Amino acid sequence: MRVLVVEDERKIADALKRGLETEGYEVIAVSSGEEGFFCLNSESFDLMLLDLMLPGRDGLEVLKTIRDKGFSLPVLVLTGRDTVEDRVLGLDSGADDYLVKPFAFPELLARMRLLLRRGKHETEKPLALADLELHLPTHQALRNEQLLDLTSREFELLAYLLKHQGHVVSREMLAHDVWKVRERSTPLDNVIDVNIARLRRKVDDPFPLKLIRTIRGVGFMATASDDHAAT
Amino acid sequence: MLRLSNLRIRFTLLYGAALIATVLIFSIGIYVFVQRMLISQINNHLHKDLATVSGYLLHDQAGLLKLASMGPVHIFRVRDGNRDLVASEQWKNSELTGLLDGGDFAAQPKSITTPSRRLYRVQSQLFPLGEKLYQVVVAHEESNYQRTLNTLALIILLAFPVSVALSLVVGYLIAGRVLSPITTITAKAQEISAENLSARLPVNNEENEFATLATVFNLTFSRLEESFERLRCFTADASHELRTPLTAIRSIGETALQQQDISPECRETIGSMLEETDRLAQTVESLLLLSRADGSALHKEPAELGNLLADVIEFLSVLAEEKQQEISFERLTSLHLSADACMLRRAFLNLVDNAIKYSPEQTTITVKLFREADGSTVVEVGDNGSGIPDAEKEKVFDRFYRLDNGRSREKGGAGLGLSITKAAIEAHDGLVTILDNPVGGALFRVVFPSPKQDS
Repeated sequence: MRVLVVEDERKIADALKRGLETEGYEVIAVSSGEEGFFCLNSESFDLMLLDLMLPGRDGLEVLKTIRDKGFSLPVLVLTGRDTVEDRVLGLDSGADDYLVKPFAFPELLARMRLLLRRGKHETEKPLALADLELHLPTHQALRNEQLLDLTSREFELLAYLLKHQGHVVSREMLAHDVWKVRERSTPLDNVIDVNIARLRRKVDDPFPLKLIRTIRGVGFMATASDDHAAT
Repeated sequence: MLRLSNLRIRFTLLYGAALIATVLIFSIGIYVFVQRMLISQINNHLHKDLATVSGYLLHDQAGLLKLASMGPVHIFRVRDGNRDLVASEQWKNSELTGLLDGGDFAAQPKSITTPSRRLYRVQSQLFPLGEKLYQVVVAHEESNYQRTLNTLALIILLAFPVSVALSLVVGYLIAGRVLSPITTITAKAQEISAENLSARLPVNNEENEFATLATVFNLTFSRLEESFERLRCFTADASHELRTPLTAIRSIGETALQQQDISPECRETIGSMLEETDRLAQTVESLLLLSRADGSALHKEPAELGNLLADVIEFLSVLAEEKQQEISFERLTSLHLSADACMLRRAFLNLVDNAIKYSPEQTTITVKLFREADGSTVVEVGDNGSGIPDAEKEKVFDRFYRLDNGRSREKGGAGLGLSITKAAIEAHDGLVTILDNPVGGALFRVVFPSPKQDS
């Protein structure tokens, strides 16, 4: 998978390049809209990460030009501006998704996976990890063939972790996707932490193999392996 | 508005008082002038009568008798020592006989009231003629003149209250007219500061004080708008400037954690730094939220307060459960309002979260939504904590303020929660205050006044 990163902040661009390469993406990072446009014309990419605040041509202009020229690759916009107007403007101009700085890297990865998967019919993987199994239609969770007594929120949370198994899930992602809240706040973080703790008590405490892991400073991950760094 | 109508009434009264004083002085002046004029008129008559009578007395005593019966002098008497020589018919009818029998008693004209309360003006004069001393008395009935004066007084007395009433009414109308530009300016200015700062007061071309006032107001609005705009720009710039390095720190840290070959200590260090970065990011977000509430850049849409509270309570119930607390929600009324649901939700989220945080385990947190008699809608959130001392009650809403006793950073947040609550509630025309919970602890009371025009 080839990713074009258009970002003028060198440190962010470097970190993105490094992180994405670790994930197995091939990354070309450029620092202006013109360069990005040049790269798009001369090479083929599967996805573009576009910063909106660029020197010279504004990110939105670049985006419009790209769409006008008929490029249909998915574009994920990164921006420091976070108002509803900005979001609408960005999506109207042809962005496929939108991420507000400072974003969490795991969330960026999750959204990229989603954009790259879009359009391809993937067989829905059954939600299972080690001896844990989830039946989405009935909202039942089984571990070691024992039925777990979960609240619906806990079930959703566990399902979300399992959907992203092997990858880190950030608090922002949980806030958006499980609690449907856009703005983060301290109470929200506490609510997430309490729910994770409860989930652990039910899912992990009675069993020797722990499946839910906290990645300090980043988020949570459902994994059966002992490998720290997997994201 | 109240002060203005006070001003109007004061203007009216002042105007009325000045007019009353003027009319009063004027009326008294006229009365005194007319009175004097009438008296001097009578005195002239008396003088002429005296001359006529004495002329006959000195030169044609027989003519006196004719005079007494036919006039033109109607009331007179001539005495010769102690004996009446001649007295006119009207004199005889006038009850004056006996009142004026002394010597030279009225060399100057004077007024006399008879026992039947008739008023006369009389004058007398002595004439020595040969051996004899004649006394001539002439009189004029003064009642006619007095009637004229009384009529004048009546006219004045009747006209006075009417003119006062009229002056008050006219004064009130004039004051209203004079003050109406102020009312207009006030209403318009209120509108401008409440809604949009870019509107301006209308300035008519007349060169008067009100035009100057409006111009001064407009200048102030311009400056205010400018500083708001600068603040908005600053906020937008600051948010970008802060977000960019935060993004860099975060991306660098998170991608570093991806690497397989770092030691657990290093992992720990980076994780800890990321946690602090996250906290910093949240503080920045909170500040932006605050500036959004201050700048009234809200996205309002219809919402119902009861539903919003129910959501908040449902959302936080898991935290209460952890402390075996119960949240009782008394939903006695509903309030449909145009609200930035996100912001208002945050306001109550902070209040209920605080109540959970500062109440001991196994207690009940009360949330009450009810309507007051005056139509305002009230939300009360009561906890069972240690309460908030009176001296701190205002300060807890200050930005970055923390209570010393146990409300510490360890429990999270940057001391912005309650200031966000306050700003968010005030952005929705509400008011938040802290009372003492009757059962101990603090009681946060949020009041939304009854909507005036739009229901």
